[in-house]
Amino acid sequence: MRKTEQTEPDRSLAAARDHAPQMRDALRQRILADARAALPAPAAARPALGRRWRLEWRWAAPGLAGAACATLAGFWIGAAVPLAPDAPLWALAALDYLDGVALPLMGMVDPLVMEF
Amino acid sequence: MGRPVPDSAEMAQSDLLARFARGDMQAAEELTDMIAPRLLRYAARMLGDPVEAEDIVQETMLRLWRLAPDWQRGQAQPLTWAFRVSSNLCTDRLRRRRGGVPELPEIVDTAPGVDAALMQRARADALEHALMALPERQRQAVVLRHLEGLSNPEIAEIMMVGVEAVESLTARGKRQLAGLLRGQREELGYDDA
Repeated sequence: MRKTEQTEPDRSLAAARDHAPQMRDALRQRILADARAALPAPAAARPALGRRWRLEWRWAAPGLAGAACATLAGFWIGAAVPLAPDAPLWALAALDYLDGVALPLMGMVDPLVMEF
Repeated sequence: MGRPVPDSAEMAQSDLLARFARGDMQAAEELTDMIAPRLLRYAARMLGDPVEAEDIVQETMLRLWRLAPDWQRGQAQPLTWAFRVSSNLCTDRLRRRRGGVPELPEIVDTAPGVDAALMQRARADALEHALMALPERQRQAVVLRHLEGLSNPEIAEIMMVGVEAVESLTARGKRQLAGLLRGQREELGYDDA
């Protein structure tokens, strides 16, 4: 009896494994259709990050440009103030760079006509 | 006992899910072929109804697709997670059935000399019917352990019980199956056992 109790379910389980329900192709197609519908939007369909940023923030461009100019002007005024004799070397170098390279590149030789 | 260590197949499933979340439909196809047939077998045996089982599989996979972008790698394995969702959906369906009494096993052919293939078919059918007569939790444990080949820790995670409880459910389920099949020993060709 014990042997029968051990073997009957095992043999039936083995038979059931051999006769397992098979997935129909129609079900597979339904699952994949759901997957397509749930798929995140492809990256190519969205504008690149830089372009998206420009599109979303273009209204702020004039204001940002003005703020940038004001910042540069403030920096230039601060840097162009006559330096004390014991000014550090890096400050002199920064002023030289501003006068000799940065401002000519921006087309601003003496924007506030201070004639230093 | 702690969470089972993910094997390479489960890691591959997580990778596929991540690829799908990035828009790769090929990954969805591979994942479907890995998981859906197993869910279908499981749900069909839990419900005894292949049409309802298909609904369960489709719903489970849909939830997996929707969850893919937020999938926490390493916290759960897709197959285990899918089995757990299917289990819950099956339980809901079984609860909705009122007074559903499983039919007694039908024997396909009792004539002497029936060939081996038919006998195997008859044994499989008898087992499917006997499974439906088991209490739901025992059926769940027996199907996952003996038909789907999952480990006890995996089953424990799916059923949200301890490993000892799984062992107990599986053992009791098998004993009850033996009792249910005993009455058909002759028809199922078990007299030679």
